[in-house]
Amino acid sequence: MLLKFFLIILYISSLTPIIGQGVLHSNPVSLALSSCDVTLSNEWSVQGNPAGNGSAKSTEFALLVENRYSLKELTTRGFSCIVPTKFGIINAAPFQFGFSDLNISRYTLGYSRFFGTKVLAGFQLNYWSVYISGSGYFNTLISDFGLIYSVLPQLTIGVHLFNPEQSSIEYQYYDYEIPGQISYGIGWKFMKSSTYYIEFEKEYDSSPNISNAVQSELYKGFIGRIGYSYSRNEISSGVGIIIRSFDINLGFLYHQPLGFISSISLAYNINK
Amino acid sequence: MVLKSFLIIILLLLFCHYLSGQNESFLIDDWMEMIAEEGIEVDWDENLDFFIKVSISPLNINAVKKEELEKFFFLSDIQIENLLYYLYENGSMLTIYELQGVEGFDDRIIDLMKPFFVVEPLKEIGRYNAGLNVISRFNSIVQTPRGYIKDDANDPVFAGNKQRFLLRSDLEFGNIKLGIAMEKDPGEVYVNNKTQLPDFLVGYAQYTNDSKIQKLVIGSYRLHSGQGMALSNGYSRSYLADPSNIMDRSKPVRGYNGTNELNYLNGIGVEINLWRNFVLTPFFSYKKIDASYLDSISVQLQLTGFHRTESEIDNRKRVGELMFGSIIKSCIKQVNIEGGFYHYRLNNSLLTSKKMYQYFSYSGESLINTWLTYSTIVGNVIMFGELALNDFSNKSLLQGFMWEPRSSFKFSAQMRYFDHGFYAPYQCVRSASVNNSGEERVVFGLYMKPFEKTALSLYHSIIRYNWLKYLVDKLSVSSETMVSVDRDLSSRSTIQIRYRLKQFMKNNSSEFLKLGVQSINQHQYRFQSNYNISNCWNVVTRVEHSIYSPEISDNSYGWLFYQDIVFTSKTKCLKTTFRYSHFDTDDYNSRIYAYEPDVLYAFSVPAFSGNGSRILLNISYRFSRIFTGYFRISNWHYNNRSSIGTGINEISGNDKTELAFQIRLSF
Repeated sequence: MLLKFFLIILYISSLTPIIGQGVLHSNPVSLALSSCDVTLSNEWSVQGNPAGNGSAKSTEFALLVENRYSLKELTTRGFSCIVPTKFGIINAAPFQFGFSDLNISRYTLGYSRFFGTKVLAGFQLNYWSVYISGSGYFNTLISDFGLIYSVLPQLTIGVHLFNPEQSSIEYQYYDYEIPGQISYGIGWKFMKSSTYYIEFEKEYDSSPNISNAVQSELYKGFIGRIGYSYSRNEISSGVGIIIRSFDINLGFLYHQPLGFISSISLAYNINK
Repeated sequence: MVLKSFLIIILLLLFCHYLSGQNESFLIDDWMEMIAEEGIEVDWDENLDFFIKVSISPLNINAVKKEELEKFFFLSDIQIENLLYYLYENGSMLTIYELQGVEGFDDRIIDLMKPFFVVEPLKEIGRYNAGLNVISRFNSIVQTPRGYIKDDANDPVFAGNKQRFLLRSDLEFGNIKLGIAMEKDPGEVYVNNKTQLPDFLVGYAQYTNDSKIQKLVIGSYRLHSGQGMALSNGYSRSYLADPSNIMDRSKPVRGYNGTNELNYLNGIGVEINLWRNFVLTPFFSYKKIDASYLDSISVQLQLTGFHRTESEIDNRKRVGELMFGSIIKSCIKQVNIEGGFYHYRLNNSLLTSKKMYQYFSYSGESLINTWLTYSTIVGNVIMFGELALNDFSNKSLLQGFMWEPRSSFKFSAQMRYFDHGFYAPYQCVRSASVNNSGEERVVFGLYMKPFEKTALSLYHSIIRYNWLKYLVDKLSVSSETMVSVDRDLSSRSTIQIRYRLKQFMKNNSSEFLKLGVQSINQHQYRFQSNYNISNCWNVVTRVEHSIYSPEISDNSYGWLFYQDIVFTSKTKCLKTTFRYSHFDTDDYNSRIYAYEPDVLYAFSVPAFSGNGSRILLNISYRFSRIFTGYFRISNWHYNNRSSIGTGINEISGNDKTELAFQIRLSF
């Protein structure tokens, strides 16, 4: 019990203080690729780069659960919905992280579309709500921009700005900073079924993180992923399974002192 | 103060390249930033007008003159000779792509030339029309620095308001050209109380002809001779990383209506064609310059150009500066030879404070400088050099060559030497310190294309200082190395990877080791990608990392990330640039420079230091053929500061917003 309490305190105090990493990057694809998700277009682009939603051709729904260090208090739950319209792609997603004394919720609403045939751009608004036992609720609105462009058929570049306005949550004497983040990544399809990703990610008040990862379709409908973060010295891995309209993803990351982070998601594509 | 307004051409090129959707601006960015790091001020130059005119009314390549080609800094002398020879041998070109058949011209050079040249039959020789150009610009900071605030006890420190105002006009009619400029810097008053004139006012009248008197300028003007070691008001290309730019070209006398308040001459300059290729350029200049009196006879020059505070206003135009001399140049066979002299005199004796590092600095009230310079082409090699003497005793020497066996391979080297006591009041060679005296420098440059779409640029310089310099109490050596790889991924996208290492020495700032000097390594890593999405949209992304690594204290680190989105309308009437930058540096030593788009004729290369973000929006819109409007807004936001700036320039709060409006009328 003491160890459990220690882990919770350590996690919450070591990561972006009150926000928690959970609602920023918690999906299994991003986890397996060591957060190299800025060039990806999938159901969880709402977390990696909102521009990625713009390539959706039909309506998609997805659910996720992520757990950190086998502590139920550090569990993230999320849902994502992507709806193509004739004006562009609309996406909405709620995420919730924490436990009874500390609860963080993020609600997103975004718009993305293709510009030409090679450029995706997306804009997203995030309503952030934090509940702390004894202090009540803290709320704020944050913006989110992204660009993904295919320089070559086999080379994709992505840029993502999260919270460029550097919003913070103020409550009485407290001013909790929400981590502004800038990400820049390259995806290089070096084989027909394999892509290499490298990503530079920097939160405004901390040292940058450089990660790289490989995703490969090992068999038809079965995808393997492995990633490594240089700055955090973390190895991650995961798999994806596509069965007709369903897409199941699993991701794992081993954090040396704290233990495993695991994530699972299930996505459903209506017209697939 | 040395002025290197070469950058304006670079800026214009950047402007044109954005317009035309080209991607060849990497080197240009680099040069801009390198020059900004040297603290060199940039401003308008006569050549900028030329580039603007030819970007609007391109030159006919079939009728182009050698003097016009020489204004294009990216063309080497060998390329110019090859082009003229090609036209002589083969007659008029039918398309600009015929340049590919000219020896030494590759796709990169042709892309750089495209915005400025057209191919037309000879009878339709395109020349820019006579006309009138008027530029008016207004800049201001939204927040108010401390120096402008009046409190109960004191008046504001600055005499004027915080706005900057510029008005500049050119009138061209046949062989006659007239120009005028007036400017007010932030903190200055619009009209000087003593003279009842604008704080800065310059103007000229210029007559050009093909007869005996080739050019006559009365009023403010600029001169550049040889490599600029003894006389230059212009810009220098000698320090650029591209080997084809290691040599400067002489520029004849030309009227000046820029905004640099220091680097110009005022009087009369004439170019007389004496006989065949012999051209004589006598010149005379007299103007009052800013200085402060140290005692009744000695002065110290004030080189800021600002007249904002009581002492700056008192020092305004206090000392008379007289300068006269002559330049003679000729071309004998393949050798260009140029020589000249001038006498320089101040009303009062110039006195440099005699700190140890300034022991050999110039003091006195008059001097005579002489120089002899040459350049020649031998096969694929351009050789050039200059010898300059200061008062017939102190010398400076420059020697260089450029070898260009083919357009995909260039190698250049340059050596420069200055005696301890060498001094030239108007000088245009790059120096790592403010004063060149006592400096020996060797520079190597290499450009090659090992693969069709990959270019490698390498630059290495070594400087030995034969005396102490500012903040270095020891004879020292510094060096700089830069390696850049540019790769065209497709016709629309380019990436650049660049590494730069500066090694130099600096006094210890530590309390315990105050007398020591330590060596410092400064590393810079850059990755940049340019992508022209379409003819209208362009995105540029840059990530840059700097490491400042002193020998005996902790390293400091810096990061800069920026994203550009550039939109140019199909009609080219509207151009919008949006940039978001995020920066995080441990201290000022690990700062990073980045060139920023600005309104036409203005230049911005801010230093990113601290932790925060910067947003920039730059818009230009051509309302009609006559009227173009420009607007720029930028905002600094610092995360960990409660004030920005220091002293009288301090702004309370962590935001600083700058605005600029400009109009251009062209009839």
